[in-house]
Amino acid sequence: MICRKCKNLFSAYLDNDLKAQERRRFEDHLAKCEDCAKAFNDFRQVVELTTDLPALQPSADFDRILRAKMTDVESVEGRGWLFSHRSVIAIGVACLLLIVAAFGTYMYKSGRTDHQDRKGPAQIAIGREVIPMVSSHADENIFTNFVMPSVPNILINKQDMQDTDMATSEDYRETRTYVLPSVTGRYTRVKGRSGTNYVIKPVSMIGASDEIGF
Amino acid sequence: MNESDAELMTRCKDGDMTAFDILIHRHKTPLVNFIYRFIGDPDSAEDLAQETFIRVYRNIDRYRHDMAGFRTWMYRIASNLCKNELRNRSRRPRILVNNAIGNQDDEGNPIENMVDPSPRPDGQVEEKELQDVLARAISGLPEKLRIALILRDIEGMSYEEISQTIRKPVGTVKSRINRARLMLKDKMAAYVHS
Repeated sequence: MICRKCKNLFSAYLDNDLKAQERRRFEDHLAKCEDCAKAFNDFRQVVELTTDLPALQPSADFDRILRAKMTDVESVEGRGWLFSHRSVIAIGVACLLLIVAAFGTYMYKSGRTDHQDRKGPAQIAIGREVIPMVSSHADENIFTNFVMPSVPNILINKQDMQDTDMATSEDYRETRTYVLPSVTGRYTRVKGRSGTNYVIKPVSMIGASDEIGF
Repeated sequence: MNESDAELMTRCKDGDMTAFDILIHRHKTPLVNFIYRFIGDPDSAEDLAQETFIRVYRNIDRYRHDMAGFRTWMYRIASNLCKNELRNRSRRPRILVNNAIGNQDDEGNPIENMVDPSPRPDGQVEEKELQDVLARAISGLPEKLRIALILRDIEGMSYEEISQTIRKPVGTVKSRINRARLMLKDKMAAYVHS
């Protein structure tokens, strides 16, 4: 073993990181080479001195100051319990928003959240007559199952109406859209066991995609 | 029963601050000492150790114990802070008034460590003086060698832990430690006796 190689193994020997054969060759070299033996001895002493250096003890105020700094961080960044649970809170808020969005969509499609309905009057004008809304859902402005006692007279007077569309025509239901002088509206006539019911809703209060459901 | 650092960190993630207090109590002395030996300034060492704990606290959710041991993770944060501190010091020249500022020279080295490296005429070296000379010699090592030496000989880390901390292969770590010790031996030649 040459001296340069020997010096490269000082740490490995000291840290017990040499295989048995290499360790023996290292020791053999030290036994023969006085310079390497002295260098290794100095090396070991310095390592021992370094290992024995006294530790610097933190000051008595270390914890107090650290706590104050951490409190500052919490106040600035909103840490603490909320911070430590922020992922759970974020998931919860996201779920809540999804539920609200899904419920809103459902309500919209079912025609129950038409804001225009909410603004609408509890009456409807067809031709020159004003017909009181007697629907049980009048407060919600959902004009379904609306019974219109004077409808025959109005409907017969087709001079005031212009038939624009026939959406459906079945045995028991008929939906039409009329443009009247005073209001654009749609009515559905339902023939049932209890007689003929009419559902009327002005188009301006329905919204473009709204449907009158039963 | 002593809980492991990983177990305490799990409790910290659940918002248990007493677990974080235990981690602080467990690691503050070696951490302050590591930083002190790295930058050579006791006051800054405390500040940087506190900053290290704050960063650990702020990044609790990012810590994964299967990726790295808590100690190596924390020391990596600390060593990055130390490097930044030393870099900042080299950029801002400091005007020193000895008595007012205290125990640092214009390079941030403790004045108490500024010992004449030549041995005393009587050949006797007090233990404290020897430790000061050694500390100054360590401060004079190149940064890459210094951190490896401190983690090994002062913090007592294994080669593998050092490898994780400084993100270098174990072979590189071993080489750096040996070179650092050899340099230190040469610096301390006048103080050690075969």
